[in-house]
Amino acid sequence: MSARDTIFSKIEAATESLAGKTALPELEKAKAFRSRFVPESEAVEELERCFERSWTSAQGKLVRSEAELIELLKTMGAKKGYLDSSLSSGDLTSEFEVSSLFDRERVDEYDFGISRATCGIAETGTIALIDRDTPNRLGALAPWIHVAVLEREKLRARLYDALTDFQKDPSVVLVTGPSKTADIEGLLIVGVHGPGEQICWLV
Amino acid sequence: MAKLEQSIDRYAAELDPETSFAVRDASKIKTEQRFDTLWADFEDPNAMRKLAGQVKQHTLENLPRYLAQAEASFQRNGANVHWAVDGDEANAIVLDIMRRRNATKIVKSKSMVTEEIELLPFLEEHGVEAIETDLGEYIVQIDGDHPSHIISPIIHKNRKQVARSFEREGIGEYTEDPEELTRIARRFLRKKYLEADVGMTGANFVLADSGRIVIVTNEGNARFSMAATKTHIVVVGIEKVIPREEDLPLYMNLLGRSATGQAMTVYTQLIGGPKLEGQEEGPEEMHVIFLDNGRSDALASECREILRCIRCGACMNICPVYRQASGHAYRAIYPGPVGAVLSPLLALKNGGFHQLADLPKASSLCGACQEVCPVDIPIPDLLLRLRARGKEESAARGAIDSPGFGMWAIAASQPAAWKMGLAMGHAMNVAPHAWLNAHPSAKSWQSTRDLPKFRGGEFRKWLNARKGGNEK
Repeated sequence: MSARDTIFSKIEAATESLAGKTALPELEKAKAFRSRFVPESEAVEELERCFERSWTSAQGKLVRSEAELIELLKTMGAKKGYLDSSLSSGDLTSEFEVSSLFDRERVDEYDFGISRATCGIAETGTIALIDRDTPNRLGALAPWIHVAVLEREKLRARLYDALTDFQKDPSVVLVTGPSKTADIEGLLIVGVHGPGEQICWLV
Repeated sequence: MAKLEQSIDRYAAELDPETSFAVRDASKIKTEQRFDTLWADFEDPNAMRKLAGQVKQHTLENLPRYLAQAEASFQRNGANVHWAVDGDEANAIVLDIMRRRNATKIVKSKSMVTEEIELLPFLEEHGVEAIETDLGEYIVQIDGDHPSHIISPIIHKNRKQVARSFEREGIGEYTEDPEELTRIARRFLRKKYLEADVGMTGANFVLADSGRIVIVTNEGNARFSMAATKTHIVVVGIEKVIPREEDLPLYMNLLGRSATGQAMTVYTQLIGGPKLEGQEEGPEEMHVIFLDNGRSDALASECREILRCIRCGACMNICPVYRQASGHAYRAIYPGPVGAVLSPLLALKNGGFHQLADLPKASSLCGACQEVCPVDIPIPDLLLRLRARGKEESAARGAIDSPGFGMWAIAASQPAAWKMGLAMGHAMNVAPHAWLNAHPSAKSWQSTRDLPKFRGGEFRKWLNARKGGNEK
């Protein structure tokens, strides 16, 4: 008997008398549990207000213009970076050494990576990166600074509302702030394997 | 035969004070953080826990259907699905995939199930370079140690020990700065990701309808291994499935808050298949290995509720026994209250259930574990059921330190003997209590308590009088 058959015959025997015992609850019941961070309306201003509060409380940084972004990257000492080729570079190219190719042999030479976020979740201050909108997974992950470009219209209230944005993409990464650990003596350290600075550029 | 000892008591008594304080402090902080976030953010977290438990209970009771659905969904997404009855089979499947891909190097994210099946030692024996990438797990690996907590694997170590390990392994200069230690690991491990052929992960959830696994990390190690490698292998227990993608937000509300007091863990990944065609980095193949390893037996048992567990660690953080004894005291991969139920059920080797039959007794049945459980597992009830099983199967380790009830049974079944016992009770009020210490369990009881004055023997008088029509 194959392993699959062995397992299925055992779990079928184990659950034979249990069918119909516990019903699958309606989704509406779960959706009714709303945290105090859920936006009060679907208006863009309200979503943006909630997103900013949650995003910054998870130690993410928020900018609203290219000038603001350039200023912030400069204060962080950034010189060289990766920019997703589908994003127009504008002033960034004149201020920094910018490449639209990410060379995996030199991951530590990039100070920042700029890529698109597919949507944002206002309640939790989360952005979603998916394969379709992120040509290079490493470029959005390996540099110390990651900048996610997020369109205001793509802000959703809750995770429930963002699920349809994921479509059938094989890789959905929900990001809530910079990479963290508390493994050594429970002390919070930022920037373990992923970015130590997580910026969202809201456009 | 040598007298069996209650190993957890002994481990707790011999635990060095530094570790003991570290475990207790960290557990208390986590318990408070959980409470602060969950109860501040939601009006009725208890109702939410119960609902989350119900969804998982339903899934378990209909597991064949949901597992078959998950399998079909993964295949539709271009992932390969494998089945393993036990750890040996799972390990062999991993090695086989690696050989077919000519792969010799593997980077692994934190996963309790791969600890359970001892995957890394197996791969190393077969010439594979296998590296843990979670910071805590990596330190556990270079120290040849085991994680003592499912969320905080090195809760039992301090920064000096970590620094000495890094120095010994030639990974970095000695430093007692945790930030610098983390940077050293960052620099070292990213080289390993980029060299590796295979990224290995577990899964926090399996979404049956969409054919995705969900992985939750704070460090970003699972993300890195899935950006840098060409093959992704997942080993996941058959109990991790949930029916609908839309069930996920309910669990995300609970998981981070219960585990670390975070409203949302930093990275939540939904992975369903190999990378898209146009994607420059990432796995070309995805393999999902569903593992049984005792879970189908647990499903058939009276303790199937334990399979709802989403591995948040809240029950260990709050448990007075865990706080005193630390995780290694449980002699198994899963420590704490959940481990006291799950580990004996999943023990297939080395004597099986009997070898760990003392774990269900490592509880005062205070009930705190169930109160904090995000899926409302009735752990105290399950502990009692396993104690009963230990008794029914005459498991020697299940009877350690149980006081003898032989005398009591004789007295209780013979009215004359019982009456005499009552008279002796009065005699105890004048006799020295040291006499009682002849029996070891009485001695240990008395070492921390005073025997109250015997005031019994009046009930029969009262009852007889009542029978006679006198209501007093």
